[in-house]
Amino acid sequence: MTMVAAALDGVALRAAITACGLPGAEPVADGPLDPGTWTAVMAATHEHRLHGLLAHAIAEGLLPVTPEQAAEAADRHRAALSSCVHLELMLQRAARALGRAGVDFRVLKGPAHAHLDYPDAAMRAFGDVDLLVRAGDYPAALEALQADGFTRTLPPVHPTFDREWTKGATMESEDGWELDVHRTLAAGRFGLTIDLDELLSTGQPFPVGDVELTALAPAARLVHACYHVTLGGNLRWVSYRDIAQLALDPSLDLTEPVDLARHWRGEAVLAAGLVRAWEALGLTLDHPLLEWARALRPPADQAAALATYRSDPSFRAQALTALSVLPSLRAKARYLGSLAFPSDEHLRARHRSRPRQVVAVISAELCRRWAR
Amino acid sequence: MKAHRVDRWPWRIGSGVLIAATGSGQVIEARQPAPVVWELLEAPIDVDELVSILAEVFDTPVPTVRADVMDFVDQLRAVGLVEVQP
Repeated sequence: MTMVAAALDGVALRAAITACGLPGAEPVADGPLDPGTWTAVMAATHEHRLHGLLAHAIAEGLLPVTPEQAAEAADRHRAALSSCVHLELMLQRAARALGRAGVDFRVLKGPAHAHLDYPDAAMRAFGDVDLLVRAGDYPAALEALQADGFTRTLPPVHPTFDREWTKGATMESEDGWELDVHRTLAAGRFGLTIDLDELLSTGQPFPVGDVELTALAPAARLVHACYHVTLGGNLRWVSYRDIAQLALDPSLDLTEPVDLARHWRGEAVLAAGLVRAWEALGLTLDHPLLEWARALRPPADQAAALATYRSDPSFRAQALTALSVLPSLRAKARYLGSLAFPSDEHLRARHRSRPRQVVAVISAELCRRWAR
Repeated sequence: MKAHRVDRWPWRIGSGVLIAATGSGQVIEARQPAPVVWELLEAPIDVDELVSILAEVFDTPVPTVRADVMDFVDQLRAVGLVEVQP
């Protein structure tokens, strides 16, 4: 039996697994991986939600494996799918709670991609559920979910910030499954220029059991996936595959994502996401969207904001990029004020260790005194 | 007797296993041939026909398949995942 790490290092192997089965993608390896490489691959598979793609690569013969490796990959895949089923049970429950409250919403990311963008939902694992609600419905959505037993994991930064500008809130079911409720798709400048009313006026339906749900429309899913890999934290490589999966769908009208991103004043983000996905996955396939992305000379304000997201991924730095698109001095002052004076509850929850907690609350109190 | 699955809760088939949620909020796992049976139960199917197909596909004697399938269908019915009509 040949034990190879081929000529691929860990990152290249991860890319090959993430891209397996796509047009122009290379086989993952020409023989079973040596034990050390296999262990690293399994760790990356878990971290980047690649369980379904690894199982697919093995089933299609793109990655030869030993019987022990096959069994381990199958066990991990089954565990990931079990999590997906638990999460979709929670999604059904959240949908019913929001429906009773009259809150319209769209399902984002994992479950939507799994059911709509992959040939088999079992190829796309996910670890939480994300929903987008209208900004005006955001308080009612949180209230309805809390009444149904969900709890918010972190108090809001500030009531005003939470009501008007926040990206969203993370909630948790009683048994610990995570539900993110979004009122926009990104923190800071790029989240505030999205036409949310238009976004929520379209969609693509899909069922989970007997509950009919709605995802974003395909072009919006692609733009959002690019926003996620370019602007979001906690990047997982399966998101690169989401981008490729959507961009390579022959039914997609390729003008739509570009028009949508321009309308959101975020074409630089769409372009960056496409280029990052293609480069990360090592795709050599020519594609009109990629040609557009590589040729784009983004507007200066977008390029500057994007540079901030790249150089400083902290919440505060990203939030401050919004100042350039806030409509008035009064709005800017309120925005800055709500960031400068975070609520005590938020600070206590964020700074768990006692010394930091005391310092943080004291500094907030000092800020309040200075503000008088 | 005809049987069909109840698509009321989420489920997945992957790596040779059916994973399905039940009405009580539990999640069950069943190995082969459960995923194949589940696929065949998408629309109402006569249990004799189901047994015949499975016996052919898995190259197993009909009585053996019938006993296993009846047992599996009974288990799924008990948790609300299958409905059976006489």
